[in-house]
Amino acid sequence: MKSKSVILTGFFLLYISFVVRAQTNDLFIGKLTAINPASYTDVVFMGAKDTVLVSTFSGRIAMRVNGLGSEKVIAVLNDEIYSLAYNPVRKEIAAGTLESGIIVIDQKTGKRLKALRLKTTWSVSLLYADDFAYLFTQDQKGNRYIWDVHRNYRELPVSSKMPPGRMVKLDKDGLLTIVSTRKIIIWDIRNDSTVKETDVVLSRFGDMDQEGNFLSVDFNTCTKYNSITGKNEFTLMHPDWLRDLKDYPDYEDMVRSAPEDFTKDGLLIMKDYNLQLTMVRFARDKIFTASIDRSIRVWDKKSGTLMRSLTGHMATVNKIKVNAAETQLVSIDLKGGIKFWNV
Amino acid sequence: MKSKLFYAVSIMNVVMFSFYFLSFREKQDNDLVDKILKVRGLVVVDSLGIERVIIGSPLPTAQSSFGNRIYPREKGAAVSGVMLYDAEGQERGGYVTDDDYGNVFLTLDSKTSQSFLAIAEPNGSTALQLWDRKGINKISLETTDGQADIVLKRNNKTVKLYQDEK
Repeated sequence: MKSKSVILTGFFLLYISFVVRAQTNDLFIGKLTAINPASYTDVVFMGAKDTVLVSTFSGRIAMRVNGLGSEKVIAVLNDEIYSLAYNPVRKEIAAGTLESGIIVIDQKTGKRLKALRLKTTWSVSLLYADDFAYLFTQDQKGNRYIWDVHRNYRELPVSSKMPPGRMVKLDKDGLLTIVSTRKIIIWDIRNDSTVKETDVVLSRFGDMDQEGNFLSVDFNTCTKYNSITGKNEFTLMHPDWLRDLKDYPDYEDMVRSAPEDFTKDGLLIMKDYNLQLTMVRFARDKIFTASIDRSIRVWDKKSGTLMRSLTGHMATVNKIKVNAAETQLVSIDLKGGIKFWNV
Repeated sequence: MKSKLFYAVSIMNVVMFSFYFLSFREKQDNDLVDKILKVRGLVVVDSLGIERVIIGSPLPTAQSSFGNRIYPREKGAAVSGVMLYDAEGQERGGYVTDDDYGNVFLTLDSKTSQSFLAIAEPNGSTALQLWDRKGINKISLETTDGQADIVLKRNNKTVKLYQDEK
């Protein structure tokens, strides 16, 4: 009799749990966010090549490997993630979020190690120094932050003498590259002094190579500045919009009636549609430009000649990154697409 | 005593299980045609889960063309209404009223900037404006009490329009 009661009570509790579970569902959400959960927001190389970390607006940090279709989720933050940086020495991931500042995560366990607060807003570009001794960024109001990685991410005071601008690189000698619309400055953070100052006219800083040449982006154009001549060398613009219309019902008829309007790969060439550039990068002897036209164009770094068009993304290519050896490029898009390209 | 407890638990179980089943039946048979839905927000998503239409009060703040937010969630100008998003989740236009001044707007945006605005102000003034990305080419129709204007700007220069021609 006692055992029957126990069994019955067990069934009763099980039944209650089913009822409670049936009543809870994901029909309702806590707040309206207007985020795109499919989009990747940032990408950063983990290893020498083929392995990267990606982040999403929905707060996911995952590992993607070239050739593998699926993600390996490392951590899920209850916040929108805008930027990533990876420290291969300590196996730590730094994630810039909308409301939680910078979150430092153990790459192996996915556990939060540290939360670094920002004075205001959020960061959309987060970087480690070349020797991974410092983590640095700026928020949307221009407040700048440098954290000492080896001292448990202790925040370093930013000198009031430091020239205004965005910090884009910190080398192993403590030389910080700061860019503004008028100047590019090399600043010694150890001596609080300017090492080099170059007058420029920048719209939006794109990238800088080892020789000090840099790329400036103005909506749909990218201008290369030559550090030796001190002048702008050439300006690049995607010459057309290459559209994949193969799923359109009258695609075959379109190709047949105007074959000159299509590439060898069957993409429609929409001439004079010069859409906005999202990101530009130097890599070896080439320049890569990504656009909301869903393509990446490869240009000769010396002449500015268009060499190739990389297509296949199904949405705006929002980020491109180059590995340390400059042998591989990775690109992500606003529909969660990712592609690896050999330089 | 134990036997009574056993029967009591069994009967309670049967009764509650019946309610559980009936609750499902009610949901399936429920015809919502004559019902009125009262909510703070409604989100329509596509097959990828990307939010394409939001009806809300207030609506979430806008994002940049790169996806990140431009204003903190709570600090944007509060507007309520309908907002449309493209297949990449980017805000492309809306039909809204604001909480402060009392305007009603209809806006259309390209992937990089706003390019169309129809607005009615609380005092009766109205305007319809179209402009290019840089704002150097613009057409504007405006009315206020006792005044009606057509302004045409081409390459940042106002085109002179003749008035009261006879």
